[in-house]
Amino acid sequence: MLRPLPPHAGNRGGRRLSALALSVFLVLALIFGGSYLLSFFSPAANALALPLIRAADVVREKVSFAAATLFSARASLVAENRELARRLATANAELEDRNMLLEENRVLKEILGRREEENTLLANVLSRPNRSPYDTLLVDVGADHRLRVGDYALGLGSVVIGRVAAVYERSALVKLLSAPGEEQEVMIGSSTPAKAIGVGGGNFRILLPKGSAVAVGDPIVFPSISPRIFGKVEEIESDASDTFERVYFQSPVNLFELRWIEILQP
Amino acid sequence: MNRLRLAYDLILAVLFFFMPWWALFLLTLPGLALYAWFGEVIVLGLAIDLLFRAPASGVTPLWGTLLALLLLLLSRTAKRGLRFHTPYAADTR
Repeated sequence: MLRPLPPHAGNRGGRRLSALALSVFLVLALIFGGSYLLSFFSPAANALALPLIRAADVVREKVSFAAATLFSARASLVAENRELARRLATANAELEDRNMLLEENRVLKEILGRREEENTLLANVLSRPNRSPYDTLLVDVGADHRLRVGDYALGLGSVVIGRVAAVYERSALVKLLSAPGEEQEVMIGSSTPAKAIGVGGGNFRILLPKGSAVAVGDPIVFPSISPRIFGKVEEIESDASDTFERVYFQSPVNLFELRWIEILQP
Repeated sequence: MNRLRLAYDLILAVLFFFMPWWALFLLTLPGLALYAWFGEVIVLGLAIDLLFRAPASGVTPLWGTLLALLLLLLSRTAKRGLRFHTPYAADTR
């Protein structure tokens, strides 16, 4: 049975079309104009949200402390466990660093006299990767501490973890080198140059020609005058039909529990 | 009704500073199902992008906002297809 059209049925098609056009425009703007939107609005959004993020950080800290002390019988064990785990992670990173430095020392004996002094700035991490979907860290120092885009960020004192990607008035955004698609030149051992590609969450992948002199456990070094540890080879995947082998490794820094980082300043 | 929505928005705003991004999107699902137009999800996606996305040269899609837009459009399309769905009177005015 035919029903009479509602009074505004004629306009409905036009309205749908304009809604569709608006949606398409919005999606295109969000894809291709993202960079402009971020550069215009991010500083203001950051300035507005920073006090709240700082407050949330303090609250989170106090709540976790209160929860630990509430169960006082377990509290000391929990604290000790955490401290030991932290020390172990630092010691592991330092050990890898030390092995690498021994090798470096041997090689660099020929060029005595060349010294490099580094300034580092301690920064509190306000948000970590699982809060942000982009593998970025929000830190509490910014232009007020002369941070610059491109400065390297270190975790556990010596492990390169990222680069400053945006500097705001009193905060900065550090993009982790493990962010998906991010590429970084590295050195495997002391002789194999390679390109590490971030796959997210502190994990990396390297593509090497099959037969490269790389073994599980080899240190992966960030190349510079004073090379820094980046990780160590954890798995090598190779296919009989493939001319390449894939090397997987993970940053020795647990990015999900990072509270402090250092920013390398030139 | 408006009070309920206000309280819901307030809870989302507070949890924004404490919870992972994916958990926040999960928490918006009841709002998307309950209200005819839950625009708050777009604000949430945009806030995630503006605070955590680093500006870069070239194409820099704002995935948070795009995901929010997708969720909103999907929820509206799904609700239109459901005969028993009755949005709250306050939202249909």
